[in-house]
Amino acid sequence: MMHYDVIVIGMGLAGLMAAKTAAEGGKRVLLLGKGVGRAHTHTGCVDLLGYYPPRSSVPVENPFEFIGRLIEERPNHPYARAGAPDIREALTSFLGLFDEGDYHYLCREGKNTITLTPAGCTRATYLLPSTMVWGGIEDERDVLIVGFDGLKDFYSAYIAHNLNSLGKGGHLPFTARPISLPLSEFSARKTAPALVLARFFEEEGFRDRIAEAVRAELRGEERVAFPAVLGVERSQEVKRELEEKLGTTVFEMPTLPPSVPGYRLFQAFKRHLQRNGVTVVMGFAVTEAFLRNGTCSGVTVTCPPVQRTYSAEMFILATGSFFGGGLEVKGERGVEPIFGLPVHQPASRDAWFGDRFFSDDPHPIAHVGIMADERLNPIDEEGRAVVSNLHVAGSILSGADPLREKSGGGIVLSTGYKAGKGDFH
Amino acid sequence: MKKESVRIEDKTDLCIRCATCMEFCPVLKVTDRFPGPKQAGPGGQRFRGPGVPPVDRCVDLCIGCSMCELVCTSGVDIYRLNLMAKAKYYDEHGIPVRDRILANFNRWMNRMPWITPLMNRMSRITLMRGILDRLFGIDKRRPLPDFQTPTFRQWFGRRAGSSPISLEPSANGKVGYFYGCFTNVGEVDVGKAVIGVLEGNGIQVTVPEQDCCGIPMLGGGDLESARSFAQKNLLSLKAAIDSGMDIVYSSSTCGYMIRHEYASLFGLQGAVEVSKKTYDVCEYLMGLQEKKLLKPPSEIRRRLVYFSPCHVRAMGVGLPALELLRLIPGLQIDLVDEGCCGLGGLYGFKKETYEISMEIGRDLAERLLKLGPDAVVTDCEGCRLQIRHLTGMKVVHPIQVLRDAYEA
Repeated sequence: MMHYDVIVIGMGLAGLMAAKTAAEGGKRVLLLGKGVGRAHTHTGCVDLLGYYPPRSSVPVENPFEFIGRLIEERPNHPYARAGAPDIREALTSFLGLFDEGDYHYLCREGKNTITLTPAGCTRATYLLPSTMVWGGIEDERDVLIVGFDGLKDFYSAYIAHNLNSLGKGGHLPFTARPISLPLSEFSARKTAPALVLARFFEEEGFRDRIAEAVRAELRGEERVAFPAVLGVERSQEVKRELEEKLGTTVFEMPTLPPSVPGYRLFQAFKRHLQRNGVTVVMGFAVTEAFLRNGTCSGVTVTCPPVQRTYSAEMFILATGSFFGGGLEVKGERGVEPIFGLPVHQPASRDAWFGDRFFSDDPHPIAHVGIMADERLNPIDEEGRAVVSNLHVAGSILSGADPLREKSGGGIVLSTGYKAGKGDFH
Repeated sequence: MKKESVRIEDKTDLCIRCATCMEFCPVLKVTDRFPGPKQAGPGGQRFRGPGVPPVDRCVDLCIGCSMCELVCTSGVDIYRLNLMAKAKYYDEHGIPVRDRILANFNRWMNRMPWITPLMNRMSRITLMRGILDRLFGIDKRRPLPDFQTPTFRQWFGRRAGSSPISLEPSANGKVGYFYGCFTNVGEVDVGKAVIGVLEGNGIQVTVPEQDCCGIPMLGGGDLESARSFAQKNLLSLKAAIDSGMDIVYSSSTCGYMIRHEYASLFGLQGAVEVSKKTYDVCEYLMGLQEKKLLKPPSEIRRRLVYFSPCHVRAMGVGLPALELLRLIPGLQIDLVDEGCCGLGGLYGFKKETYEISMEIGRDLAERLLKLGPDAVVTDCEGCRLQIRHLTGMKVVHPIQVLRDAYEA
C-alpha cells in the first residue's frame, strides 16, 4: 500500500490549491480526481466578493473591506473559517503560479472589476487573466465584439444586443457592435469547439487573416472583444500581436463552457504540481474511506477491475457540491458519498427550492453542504468534529451563497489553501 | 457515481453535456469529421439500441485514447460506448481484410521470426509499399518497424541458466515477464533491459507462454478475436501467479489490456486475480523503492523528456516511470503529460487515418523539438514509433534509462 503525507480528493480549484500548498510545505502528496475537475467550466476569472449583503444590487468596490464585515456577521461562512490572512495568502500563492511577462492574473489595486459576460450582462470579479483586463465597464471606448459562425458557445449579436440595452438604461458608458466571421473562410473547418479555435489562433497565418478581416470591419472602435480563444499556451503573445495588427486594444470575454481560460488554469496548476512531485491520478472515483475512532487511515480508489488502497496522515476532501459530484442525492436527502459526513440541509426535500425561480432570496439548496469548524474539520449539527485528520475545502462547504455573493473563486482558493497548509494551531 | 467493474452498463444518462471531454479529444482537435466524444458516445448511444442499424461510421475515427472517459466527472464510460459502437458496426458489416492483416502482423512476426529478414527487405521496396497502400490501404508514408533477430524470446532461451548480473536471485521475489509481441521482434533491447534491471535487483525472472494481448483486434472492433487471445493468455498468466509469481509488463498497451479489459470488458474467469498481481515494470520497481529494497542507480548526466502514454494515464497509478527516473542522480527530466502522440496503434497505419494521426502528433512534436532533450522517454512502443517518425529524435523506454544508470 502506498503511503502519503496528504491525500487530496477532488481536482477542482480547491483540490488543486490544497495539493499545491501541501506540496510546497514539503509534504508528499497524492491528488485523486474522479474526472478532470470543474476548472473547465470556470470563466477563468476569480471572484472574491462581488455583492454584500448577497441581496445587494450594488457591487462591492473593495472586497476585503466587506470580507471583514462578512466574517463578523456570518461566523459559519467559509470565509470566516479561512480567515482574512489566509484569504490574502491564498490569492498571493495563486498569482505566483504565473510568470508576469506571460499570461498571468492581476487585480485592479485591490478593487473589483465589473466585467462583461457571454450573456451580455455585467458582473463583479476580482482577479482577471491578463488577456481580459480591458474588458471592464469603466472604459468608455466603444467595443467591436467578434464572434464566429461555427463557434457555438459565443453569440456576438446576442451579447451586443444585451449590452446595448444596459447602455440605454444608462448602465454602460459605451456601445457594442457585433460581427460574426464564418470560420470556414479562415480554416478547413466549418465548426470548432473553443479549444480548437484557440489552437488556430496560435498559428500566425490564421491570426493574420482574422486580424485583416476584423480591421476591415472597424468603424472607429478602439476596443475589440474576442471570445476567450486567443491561444492555449501563448495567449499573451497572441493578444499582443492582434493588438499590433489591429491598432486597437484587444481583450478576451468568457465563453460558455467548456472554457479555454479554465483549461489554461488547470494546466498551469497540474504542471506546477507535477514539477513539485505531486502524484496525480485522474479518472477514478474514491469509493471507500477507512474510518476508526474518528480518524481516517486510508481510502480506496476503484480502478476496474481492482480496488487500490492508499494511506496517509491527513486527508483533504475537495469534491465540490452537487455539480462536481461531492454531494449526491439519495432519495430525499443530500449525502456525502465517500466519508458519509453529516450534510447540513433542510429537513425535507420540499424545502430545497423557493416558490419562484428568480426570487430575491437564495434557494435553500444553495446552503446545503458540509459544516466545518475553524480547522476545517467536518462537524455534525452539534458542532462536534467527526473525523480528526480530515479537512474539508471548496464548494462542498455550507454557509455561503457563492452565486449571489460572487465569492466562489475566493472560497475554493482560500479554504483549499488553508487545508493544504495544515497548520491549524 | 462509481466507474464500476461490471461489464457494459448504460451510463449514457449520466452525461450532463458539460462538454469537458470535447476539450481533451485529440481527434476532434484536428478534424470536424469526428463529432467528438460527447456526440459520438452518449449522444450517439441513443440511436444504438438492439436491432437499430448504426447511423454512421464516425466512431471509426475514435483513436481509443480514453481521455474522454478519464476526464469525465459524471462517470460516463464514453470511450467504452464508442468501442462497443465500433464493434457493433463491424459485427454487422464484417471486418476488412486489411484490418485483420494489420492487427495480426506483429503476432505473425512473433510466430515466424525466420520470415522477418524477408519482411524487412520487402518493406524497404517502394513498389511493395505502393502495392500495400493501393490494395490494402496501409499508408506508404508510415514507416514499418524493422524486425529483429534473434527475438527476445530466443535470446532469453539461449542465456537460460547463465544470468549475467545477479545479486541473489529471488531474494526479492519471482516475476513472470509479459514482454509483448513488439518487444519480442521490434525492440529486443527493451526486453533485455527489463531482465537486466530486475535481475540486478535480485528478482528471478521467467517468461510465461504468451500470445498477442489482443488489443490490436480490440482497436479494430474485433472483440471475438481479442477475447480468445485474452483467454489463452489468462491460462498461463494465472498458472504463473498460482506458482507464486507476480506478472510485470513493459508495454503499457499490453498491460492496460491485461489489467483492465480482460476483466472489465470480457469478464473472463481468473482475470481479476491476474489484474491484482500484474504490474507495470516501473510501478513494480517503485514498490521495491517504497520498501527501501531498490538498488540505487548511479549518476548519469542527461536531459530527458518523459511523455506519458494514454494507457499509462488510464491505469490509475500515476506516473511510476517518472517517479523512477527521478531517483537517478544527474538526470534532468521535463514532463509532457497532456496531448496524444496520435499513433493510436493501427490507426496511424491506415490510409484513411494516417493524416489525422500525424496532425494529432504535431503539437507534441513541436513541444518536444522545442525542449530539445538528449532523448524522449515513454513506456509505449506506439508512442515511440510515432515520436521517432514525427521528430527523428531518440526515443527509449524508461527501463533502458535505468539500465544505463545501473551500468554507469
